[in-house]
Amino acid sequence: MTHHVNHDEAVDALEVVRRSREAVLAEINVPVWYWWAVAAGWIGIGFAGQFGNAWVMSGATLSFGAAHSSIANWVVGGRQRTSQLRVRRDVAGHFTPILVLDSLCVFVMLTIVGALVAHADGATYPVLVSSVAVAVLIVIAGPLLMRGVRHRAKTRTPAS
Amino acid sequence: MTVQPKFDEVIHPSTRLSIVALLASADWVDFAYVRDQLGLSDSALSKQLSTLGDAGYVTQERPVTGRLRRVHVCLTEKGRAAFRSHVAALQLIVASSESPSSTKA
Repeated sequence: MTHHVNHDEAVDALEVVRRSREAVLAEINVPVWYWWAVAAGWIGIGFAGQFGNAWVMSGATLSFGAAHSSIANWVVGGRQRTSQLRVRRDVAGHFTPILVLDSLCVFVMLTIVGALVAHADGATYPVLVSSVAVAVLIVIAGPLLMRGVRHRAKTRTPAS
Repeated sequence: MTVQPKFDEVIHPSTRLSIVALLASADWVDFAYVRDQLGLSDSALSKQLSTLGDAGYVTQERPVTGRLRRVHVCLTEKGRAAFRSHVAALQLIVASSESPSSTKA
Protein backbone atom coordinates (compact mmCIF):
# COMPACT_ATOMS: atom_id res chain seq x y z
CA MET A 1 0.00 0.00 0.00
CA THR A 2 2.94 2.33 0.68
CA HIS A 3 4.14 2.10 -2.95
CA HIS A 4 7.75 2.61 -1.92
CA VAL A 5 7.06 5.99 -0.41
CA ASN A 6 9.28 6.48 2.58
CA HIS A 7 8.75 8.63 5.64
CA ASP A 8 10.46 11.74 4.28
CA GLU A 9 8.57 11.60 1.00
CA ALA A 10 5.29 11.25 2.86
CA VAL A 11 6.16 14.21 5.09
CA ASP A 12 7.04 16.28 2.02
CA ALA A 13 3.76 15.31 0.35
CA LEU A 14 1.78 16.30 3.44
CA GLU A 15 3.63 19.60 3.47
CA VAL A 16 2.53 20.18 -0.14
CA VAL A 17 -1.04 19.49 0.94
CA ARG A 18 -0.73 21.89 3.89
CA ARG A 19 0.68 24.71 1.73
CA SER A 20 -2.04 24.32 -0.90
CA ARG A 21 -4.70 24.33 1.77
CA GLU A 22 -3.28 27.46 3.40
CA ALA A 23 -3.27 29.23 0.03
CA VAL A 24 -7.03 28.68 -0.16
CA LEU A 25 -7.59 29.60 3.49
CA ALA A 26 -5.80 32.90 2.86
CA GLU A 27 -8.60 33.71 0.42
CA ILE A 28 -11.27 33.60 3.13
CA ASN A 29 -12.29 37.20 3.51
CA VAL A 30 -15.08 39.70 3.14
CA PRO A 31 -14.14 42.27 0.47
CA VAL A 32 -12.71 45.43 2.00
CA TRP A 33 -15.20 47.52 0.08
CA TYR A 34 -18.00 45.85 2.09
CA TRP A 35 -16.73 47.33 5.36
CA TRP A 36 -16.29 50.76 3.76
CA ALA A 37 -19.81 50.57 2.31
CA VAL A 38 -21.27 49.60 5.69
CA ALA A 39 -19.33 52.43 7.35
CA ALA A 40 -20.60 54.92 4.76
CA GLY A 41 -24.15 53.68 5.28
CA TRP A 42 -23.69 53.99 9.02
CA ILE A 43 -22.71 57.64 8.72
CA GLY A 44 -25.64 58.20 6.36
CA ILE A 45 -28.08 56.76 8.87
CA GLY A 46 -26.43 58.79 11.64
CA PHE A 47 -26.80 61.93 9.53
CA ALA A 48 -30.46 61.12 8.86
CA GLY A 49 -31.03 60.34 12.53
CA GLN A 50 -29.43 63.58 13.61
CA PHE A 51 -30.93 66.02 11.15
CA GLY A 52 -33.94 64.29 9.61
CA ASN A 53 -37.40 63.52 10.92
CA ALA A 54 -38.75 60.04 11.67
CA TRP A 55 -39.62 59.46 8.00
CA VAL A 56 -36.16 60.31 6.78
CA MET A 57 -34.62 58.14 9.46
CA SER A 58 -36.91 55.22 8.63
CA GLY A 59 -36.25 55.62 4.92
CA ALA A 60 -32.49 55.67 5.44
CA THR A 61 -32.61 52.60 7.65
CA LEU A 62 -34.82 50.67 5.23
CA SER A 63 -32.62 51.64 2.29
CA PHE A 64 -29.54 50.50 4.15
CA GLY A 65 -31.21 47.21 5.10
CA ALA A 66 -32.38 46.58 1.54
CA ALA A 67 -28.98 47.36 0.05
CA HIS A 68 -27.27 45.20 2.63
CA SER A 69 -29.54 42.21 2.17
CA SER A 70 -29.06 42.36 -1.61
CA ILE A 71 -25.32 41.83 -1.30
CA ALA A 72 -25.05 40.02 2.04
CA ASN A 73 -25.89 36.61 0.62
CA TRP A 74 -22.71 36.34 -1.42
CA VAL A 75 -20.44 38.71 0.48
CA VAL A 76 -20.64 38.04 4.21
CA GLY A 77 -19.82 34.33 3.99
CA GLY A 78 -16.23 35.24 3.23
CA ARG A 79 -16.04 32.45 0.66
CA GLN A 80 -15.59 34.47 -2.48
CA ARG A 81 -13.32 37.44 -1.94
CA THR A 82 -12.36 37.41 -5.58
CA SER A 83 -13.71 35.83 -8.75
CA GLN A 84 -10.81 33.36 -8.77
CA LEU A 85 -12.16 30.78 -6.37
CA ARG A 86 -14.94 29.99 -3.96
CA VAL A 87 -13.90 28.44 -0.66
CA ARG A 88 -15.97 25.48 0.51
CA ARG A 89 -18.55 26.33 3.15
CA ASP A 90 -17.21 23.73 5.59
CA VAL A 91 -13.71 25.16 5.20
CA ALA A 92 -14.67 28.84 5.56
CA GLY A 93 -16.91 28.00 8.51
CA HIS A 94 -20.69 27.79 8.64
CA PHE A 95 -20.73 30.45 11.34
CA THR A 96 -18.99 33.23 9.38
CA PRO A 97 -22.15 34.94 8.00
CA ILE A 98 -23.72 34.77 11.45
CA LEU A 99 -20.58 36.25 12.97
CA VAL A 100 -20.57 39.15 10.51
CA LEU A 101 -24.28 39.86 11.00
CA ASP A 102 -23.91 39.57 14.78
CA SER A 103 -21.07 42.08 14.62
CA LEU A 104 -23.46 44.51 12.90
CA CYS A 105 -25.88 44.07 15.81
CA VAL A 106 -23.04 44.87 18.21
CA PHE A 107 -22.24 47.98 16.14
CA VAL A 108 -25.89 49.07 16.42
CA MET A 109 -25.74 48.71 20.21
CA LEU A 110 -22.46 50.62 20.33
CA THR A 111 -23.96 53.41 18.22
CA ILE A 112 -26.95 53.75 20.59
CA VAL A 113 -24.77 53.66 23.71
CA GLY A 114 -22.29 56.07 22.11
CA ALA A 115 -25.08 58.50 21.21
CA LEU A 116 -26.46 58.39 24.77
CA VAL A 117 -23.02 59.00 26.24
CA ALA A 118 -22.32 61.83 23.79
CA HIS A 119 -25.72 63.35 24.57
CA ALA A 120 -25.06 63.14 28.32
CA ASP A 121 -21.68 64.73 27.69
CA GLY A 122 -23.39 67.67 26.03
CA ALA A 123 -22.31 66.98 22.45
CA THR A 124 -24.09 69.12 19.86
CA TYR A 125 -24.64 66.23 17.42
CA PRO A 126 -24.53 63.08 19.57
CA VAL A 127 -26.05 60.68 17.00
CA LEU A 128 -23.75 61.82 14.22
CA VAL A 129 -20.69 61.74 16.49
CA SER A 130 -21.52 58.22 17.63
CA SER A 131 -22.21 57.03 14.05
CA VAL A 132 -18.91 58.36 12.76
CA ALA A 133 -17.01 56.79 15.68
CA VAL A 134 -18.65 53.40 15.07
CA ALA A 135 -18.09 53.73 11.30
CA VAL A 136 -14.35 54.10 11.99
CA LEU A 137 -14.57 51.06 14.25
CA ILE A 138 -16.31 49.07 11.48
CA VAL A 139 -13.53 49.80 8.99
CA ILE A 140 -10.89 48.75 11.52
CA ALA A 141 -12.63 45.84 13.25
CA GLY A 142 -14.16 44.23 10.15
CA PRO A 143 -10.88 43.05 8.60
CA LEU A 144 -9.63 42.02 12.05
CA LEU A 145 -12.75 39.91 12.50
CA MET A 146 -12.04 38.12 9.22
CA ARG A 147 -8.42 37.59 10.20
CA GLY A 148 -9.75 35.77 13.26
CA VAL A 149 -12.01 33.66 11.02
CA ARG A 150 -9.02 32.67 8.85
CA HIS A 151 -6.96 31.83 11.91
CA ARG A 152 -9.78 29.68 13.25
CA ALA A 153 -10.12 27.90 9.91
CA LYS A 154 -6.39 27.09 9.92
CA THR A 155 -6.43 25.65 13.41
CA ARG A 156 -9.80 23.94 13.16
CA THR A 157 -9.72 22.05 9.91
CA PRO A 158 -7.77 18.89 9.16
CA ALA A 159 -5.25 18.54 6.33
CA SER A 160 -7.73 16.73 4.16
CA MET B 1 -16.84 9.09 9.27
CA THR B 2 -13.55 7.17 9.04
CA VAL B 3 -11.44 7.48 5.91
CA GLN B 4 -9.84 4.32 4.58
CA PRO B 5 -6.16 4.99 3.80
CA LYS B 6 -5.49 4.27 0.15
CA PHE B 7 -2.41 5.37 -1.72
CA ASP B 8 -3.35 6.93 -5.06
CA GLU B 9 -0.78 6.84 -7.86
CA VAL B 10 -2.70 9.37 -9.93
CA ILE B 11 -2.79 11.99 -7.18
CA HIS B 12 0.62 11.45 -5.61
CA PRO B 13 2.99 13.23 -8.05
CA SER B 14 3.80 16.58 -6.47
CA THR B 15 2.16 18.81 -9.08
CA ARG B 16 -1.06 16.83 -9.17
CA LEU B 17 -1.10 16.61 -5.38
CA SER B 18 -0.82 20.42 -5.20
CA ILE B 19 -3.65 20.81 -7.69
CA VAL B 20 -5.96 18.39 -5.89
CA ALA B 21 -5.11 19.84 -2.46
CA LEU B 22 -5.92 23.31 -3.78
CA LEU B 23 -9.23 22.14 -5.21
CA ALA B 24 -10.12 20.15 -2.10
CA SER B 25 -10.70 23.30 -0.04
CA ALA B 26 -12.74 25.08 -2.68
CA ASP B 27 -16.02 24.60 -4.53
CA TRP B 28 -14.22 25.69 -7.68
CA VAL B 29 -10.96 27.40 -8.58
CA ASP B 30 -10.26 29.46 -11.66
CA PHE B 31 -7.83 27.84 -14.09
CA ALA B 32 -5.62 30.95 -14.04
CA TYR B 33 -5.43 30.90 -10.24
CA VAL B 34 -4.22 27.29 -10.17
CA ARG B 35 -1.72 28.04 -12.94
CA ASP B 36 -0.31 31.09 -11.15
CA GLN B 37 -0.31 29.45 -7.73
CA LEU B 38 1.72 26.50 -8.99
CA GLY B 39 3.83 28.44 -11.48
CA LEU B 40 2.82 26.24 -14.40
CA SER B 41 2.25 27.03 -18.05
CA ASP B 42 -1.24 26.69 -19.50
CA SER B 43 -0.26 23.56 -21.40
CA ALA B 44 1.43 21.93 -18.41
CA LEU B 45 -1.61 22.54 -16.23
CA SER B 46 -3.96 21.33 -18.95
CA LYS B 47 -1.98 18.11 -19.21
CA GLN B 48 -2.19 17.49 -15.46
CA LEU B 49 -5.89 18.33 -15.39
CA SER B 50 -6.44 15.99 -18.30
CA THR B 51 -4.83 13.14 -16.36
CA LEU B 52 -6.93 13.94 -13.30
CA GLY B 53 -10.01 14.29 -15.50
CA ASP B 54 -9.41 10.90 -17.11
CA ALA B 55 -9.41 9.39 -13.61
CA GLY B 56 -12.72 11.12 -12.92
CA TYR B 57 -11.19 13.33 -10.23
CA VAL B 58 -11.72 16.80 -11.69
CA THR B 59 -14.11 18.54 -14.01
CA GLN B 60 -13.76 21.79 -15.88
CA GLU B 61 -16.65 24.18 -16.37
CA ARG B 62 -16.97 27.31 -18.43
CA PRO B 63 -19.32 29.68 -16.56
CA VAL B 64 -21.16 32.35 -18.47
CA THR B 65 -19.50 35.50 -17.16
CA GLY B 66 -19.05 37.45 -20.35
CA ARG B 67 -15.29 36.93 -20.20
CA LEU B 68 -13.45 34.67 -22.58
CA ARG B 69 -11.09 31.92 -21.40
CA ARG B 70 -12.68 31.68 -17.97
CA VAL B 71 -12.55 28.09 -16.77
CA HIS B 72 -13.54 26.81 -13.35
CA VAL B 73 -11.84 23.65 -12.16
CA CYS B 74 -13.71 21.52 -9.63
CA LEU B 75 -12.87 18.39 -7.69
CA THR B 76 -15.47 15.65 -8.12
CA GLU B 77 -16.81 13.63 -5.20
CA LYS B 78 -14.73 10.71 -6.44
CA GLY B 79 -11.64 12.93 -6.50
CA ARG B 80 -12.39 14.27 -3.03
CA ALA B 81 -12.75 10.77 -1.62
CA ALA B 82 -9.53 9.65 -3.33
CA PHE B 83 -7.69 12.69 -1.97
CA ARG B 84 -8.87 12.05 1.58
CA SER B 85 -7.82 8.42 1.34
CA HIS B 86 -4.45 9.40 -0.12
CA VAL B 87 -3.77 11.91 2.67
CA ALA B 88 -4.78 9.27 5.21
CA ALA B 89 -2.32 6.85 3.58
CA LEU B 90 0.46 9.45 3.78
CA GLN B 91 -0.36 10.12 7.42
CA LEU B 92 -0.28 6.39 8.06
CA ILE B 93 3.19 6.11 6.50
CA VAL B 94 4.45 8.97 8.65
CA ALA B 95 2.82 7.59 11.80
CA SER B 96 4.03 4.05 11.25
CA SER B 97 7.64 5.15 10.67
CA GLU B 98 7.58 7.48 13.67
CA SER B 99 6.07 5.09 16.19
CA PRO B 100 9.23 2.97 16.86
CA SER B 101 11.33 6.04 17.68
CA SER B 102 8.60 7.53 19.84
CA THR B 103 8.39 4.23 21.71
CA LYS B 104 12.14 4.37 22.34
CA ALA B 105 11.87 7.94 23.60
